[in-house]
Amino acid sequence: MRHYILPPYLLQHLATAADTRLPAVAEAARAALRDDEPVHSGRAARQEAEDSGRAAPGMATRTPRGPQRTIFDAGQAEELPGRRVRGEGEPENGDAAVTEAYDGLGATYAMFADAFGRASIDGAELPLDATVHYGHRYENAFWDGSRMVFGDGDGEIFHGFTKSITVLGHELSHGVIQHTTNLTYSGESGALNESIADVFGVLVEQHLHRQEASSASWLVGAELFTDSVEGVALRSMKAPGTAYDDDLLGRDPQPAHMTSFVVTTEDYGGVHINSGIPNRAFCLAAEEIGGFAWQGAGRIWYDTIVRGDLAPTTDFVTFASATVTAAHARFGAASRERAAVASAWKTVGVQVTP
Amino acid sequence: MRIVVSRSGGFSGLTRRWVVDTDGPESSDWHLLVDACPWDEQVDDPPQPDRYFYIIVANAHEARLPEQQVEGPWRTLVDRVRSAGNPVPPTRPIDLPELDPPAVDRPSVDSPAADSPAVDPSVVERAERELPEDRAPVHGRRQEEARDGDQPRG
Repeated sequence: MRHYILPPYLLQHLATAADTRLPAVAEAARAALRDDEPVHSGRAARQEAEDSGRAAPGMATRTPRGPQRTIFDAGQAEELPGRRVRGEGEPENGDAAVTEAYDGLGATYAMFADAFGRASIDGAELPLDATVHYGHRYENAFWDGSRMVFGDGDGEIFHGFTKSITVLGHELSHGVIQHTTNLTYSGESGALNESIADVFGVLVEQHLHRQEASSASWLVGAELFTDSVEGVALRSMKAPGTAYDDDLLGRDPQPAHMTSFVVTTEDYGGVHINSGIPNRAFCLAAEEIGGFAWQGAGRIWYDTIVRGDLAPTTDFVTFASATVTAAHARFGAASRERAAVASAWKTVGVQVTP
Repeated sequence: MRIVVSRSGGFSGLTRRWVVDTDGPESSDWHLLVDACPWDEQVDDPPQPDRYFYIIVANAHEARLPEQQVEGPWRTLVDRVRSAGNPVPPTRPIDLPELDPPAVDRPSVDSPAADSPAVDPSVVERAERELPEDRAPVHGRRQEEARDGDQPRG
């Protein structure tokens, strides 16, 4: 087989979308696709699934061919999906939010495809649908089980939520989680759900800009606050609790250690609050391992959620132990990756069971 | 009657609350709005990641609703409280559950939101004290979980 610089999904794009303008490129891309074999990571993932001798739900089972994106415009109403405004391969329509959503979904697809050989959020090329301009001054973005939805912000505290690539990556990652380890959105399992979405959200940004762990910001939603807010982002994975300290918003409430675990009825048991603890564990492990985080700690976290052996109500301790097991499986018992993951959880106060 | 609306969660994880006291000429209108809500018909609805989470307290009722269920009479009530009530500047999600003993390290409310009048902190504390007793089992369950979470896990 041959190896190509361009991943198959990009070849596919060139083979179809560009054929009228660049016939030579399109033909070359089609030729490459004809004799291309699965990308390395996809093949490795399948091999691992075969080696493990059991089903691996959510494991990539085919070569990623490229995203199938469709963007809708809710026109500031709260009706979904809204009006279709841009499909895959179609030109920009002059609406920045549409372009940001389209490009962000593409960057997210590319990270999961390149880093993990995963074909879209279900591993089977599920189309990616997003709605922008949801609601009036709506200061939020969410995943409704089948699509990503983004508000424009109020303009006073928040800009539009499509401005942040980590937010786009985060929302799509909720879809990946739903199709792998469907962690219950409450309490510790909910905080893990949130944390894993943050993890892959920042990995999308790091992958897009080719940032190593040591030079990444580890901020989530750094583009959302207006200049009137005293803060750098909504969350800091490197230093939870320090992202903002503002007269209006109060202080970033995220704990950085289990001793500060927040008990609350609100926010489904503080899922956006206590996610700071596993967020910091991931950042510590990634920095200790070094290099591109999606190749080390990110790979371990991904392996953990696609193994298919975590219960929906998994708590911090169980998840932490599963990451150490995954590090062992991929990098070896005596690997520095395994040691880094175990050490990271210990630092945030989560004792990994042997 | 005091009506409290808490909106927590969302991607930002910021909590906002609005409080309204319904004494006055419009009191009967408020009672109609409250009585129109299906307080006893709360159904389980799978949470949608990053959607808001509402806690609505009024007249010895407490409802906990995912955003997508806040429609019909719920939406009418919430919108009315938001527009007519005293908006409390965004507060830490830690505040509401720590009703008793009183929350410590409360964020400053000296700087109101740009479009909202300031609220005397005592108003909030009074609202907390006067929350109905029937919410106790809810918080009691969380308190048990709190003890689990206070120590490093092993």
